Amino acid sequence: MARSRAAGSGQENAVNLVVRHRGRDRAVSIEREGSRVRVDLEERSIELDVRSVSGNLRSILVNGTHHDVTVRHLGDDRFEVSGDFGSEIVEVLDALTHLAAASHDGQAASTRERVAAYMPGRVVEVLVRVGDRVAVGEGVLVLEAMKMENEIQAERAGILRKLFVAAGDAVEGGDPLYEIE
Amino acid sequence: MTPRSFSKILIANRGEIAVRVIRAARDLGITSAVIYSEADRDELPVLLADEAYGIGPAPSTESYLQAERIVDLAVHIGADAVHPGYGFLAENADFARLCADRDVAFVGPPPEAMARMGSKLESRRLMRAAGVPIVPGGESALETVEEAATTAGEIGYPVILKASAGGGGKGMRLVRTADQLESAYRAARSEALASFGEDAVYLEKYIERPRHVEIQIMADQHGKVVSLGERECSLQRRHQKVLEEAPSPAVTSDLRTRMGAAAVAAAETVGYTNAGTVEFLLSSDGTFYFLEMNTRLQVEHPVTEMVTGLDLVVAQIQVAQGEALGPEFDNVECRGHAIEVRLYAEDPFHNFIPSPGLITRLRLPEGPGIRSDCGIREGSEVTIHYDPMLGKLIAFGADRQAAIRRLRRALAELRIEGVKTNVPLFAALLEDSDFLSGNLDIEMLDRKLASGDLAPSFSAALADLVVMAAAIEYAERRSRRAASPMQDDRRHSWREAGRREAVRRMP
Repeated sequence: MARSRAAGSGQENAVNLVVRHRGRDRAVSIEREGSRVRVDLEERSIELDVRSVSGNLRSILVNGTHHDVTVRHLGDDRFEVSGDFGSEIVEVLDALTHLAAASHDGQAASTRERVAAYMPGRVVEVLVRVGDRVAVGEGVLVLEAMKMENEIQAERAGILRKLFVAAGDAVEGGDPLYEIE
Repeated sequence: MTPRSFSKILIANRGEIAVRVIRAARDLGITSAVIYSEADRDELPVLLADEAYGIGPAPSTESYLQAERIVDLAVHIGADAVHPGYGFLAENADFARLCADRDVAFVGPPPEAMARMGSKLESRRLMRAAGVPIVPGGESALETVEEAATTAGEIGYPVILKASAGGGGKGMRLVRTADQLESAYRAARSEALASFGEDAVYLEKYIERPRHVEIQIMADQHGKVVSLGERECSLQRRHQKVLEEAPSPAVTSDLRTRMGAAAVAAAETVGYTNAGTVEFLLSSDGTFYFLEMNTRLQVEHPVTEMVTGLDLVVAQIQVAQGEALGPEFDNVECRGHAIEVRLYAEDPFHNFIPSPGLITRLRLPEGPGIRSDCGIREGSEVTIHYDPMLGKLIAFGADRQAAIRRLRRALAELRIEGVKTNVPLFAALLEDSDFLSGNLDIEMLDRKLASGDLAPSFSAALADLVVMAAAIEYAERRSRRAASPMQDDRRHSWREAGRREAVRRMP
């Protein structure tokens, strides 16, 4: 646990975290007293006023600029932050846990990514074969859901290592579709 | 025909349009009854209507498309009329006949008018006879590829192959040169057969980068047909409209008069009554061509309501009751400017993949000039069974600029959470210089999407906010957990746990 005692008494602990957002790991330290929060984000120190308005809704003031965001815990270390910018998925890790995970990862050095069905549907067509090299944006398969045929496109380039489905298969949301390396 | 007053209307639809019709019925003091599928029991139409009746399982073929069951229900509950909304059974002439056979008024045009406009080839012949300009091209189905080649040679490339029974871009093939014709012809026929059950295709001259401009008409059962002005619907993604406005930035008063007269002639020639829309392609040189007639209420009808001050759904019901169109329908003048955006549960930056799920938060915009026609509530479930349209947002202003500013304000106030939506796409579109100049055509949005012009910008400041908000939440959850160790820490013995519990209970 990367928790350190704050200097003065009566203050809550400063919590050191690593937040993964859009493929970037960022070091964040949080110190909170009531609704006032001091955040050390990389080199900068930022003062915020954070109120829980209702349920998951947070009213955040940063130097007089207001943001209302909803923060939902998605399970494990994942959170969804929504606002007028849409929705963003972030992963929050305790700094020490992150360090341990990083050194373990370093040994395995796997860059495989497994892509799952985002909703229940039916596989209409598989557009590539195992071993094929796919580019970003290239169609991998066609999934019929919500009365529409949707082409599932590769979000990263690589070699298709595994296909878990074939044309005609019914899939549930979360079922693995393919693995790309 | 002597007018009769409806006391109850059955609404054979779901989502935002069911809500829209409930409101119109209530404005007229008519009892509203909705049908619902098993997936829609808890949805907004059921919550708002006076009466609601289960019609079947979630798939629309077993519920909202069950024509006979719906008419049986209408008779059983004593409904005087059925409003079909749009989609589902709205343009099904057999359903309209079924209603008439059981003495239930169908809020829409006569089945004969529907059927004649439903065939693209027949409607082209009728329009030509009525003097309504049509896109140059064939007027009969092409039996062979040789026949297609002859016709294409006559009208000149590029040409477009279309399915007679078509719509929504299905069975359509653009042919730029003669050598592409044979494969395009075969593909169009097989796609038409697969989509519509008949493989009749015909050829039209391909108009380069036209606008889609349509005329709203209203016709009573006493021979009066009026034009209510145009809507500009050029912003489409793959032939599906996403943003509509009235008036069109390209339509002059003179052009409006001529297009309106053509639309009225089109309606009169098929004996049309009730609300309808005549769609035209408008080329850059100001020539317009009949495209098709939609024999129903359109999704985008609110923009016409905003600039005319009329209530089209109320008028639909009044016309179906046999009333004559009132004086408010004479010489309708449009005032101001209205823009509508269609809100979809889809991811505009990942190939528009539908995004089903639970609506965890909904804040609809309010204030001057804003109207929201939505079919969802907080807690609604967007399912995979139906079209993922959630509703529409309409902004009204003194002119186009003012309407755009209000729409931006409305989109900034709007929150729909739990599902991905196309709202960020509209936010980008409302800043786009081509959109702002009003220089639109029906392929513009597809071009911009392909080139990445409308890709979202995500500033460093926003990224900081997201990261901080999640980190604060994580720290908050952990301190809460630390305050109640019973819930998470299973490593301690029962004795230790008991001791902790005792401590926790102390004041």
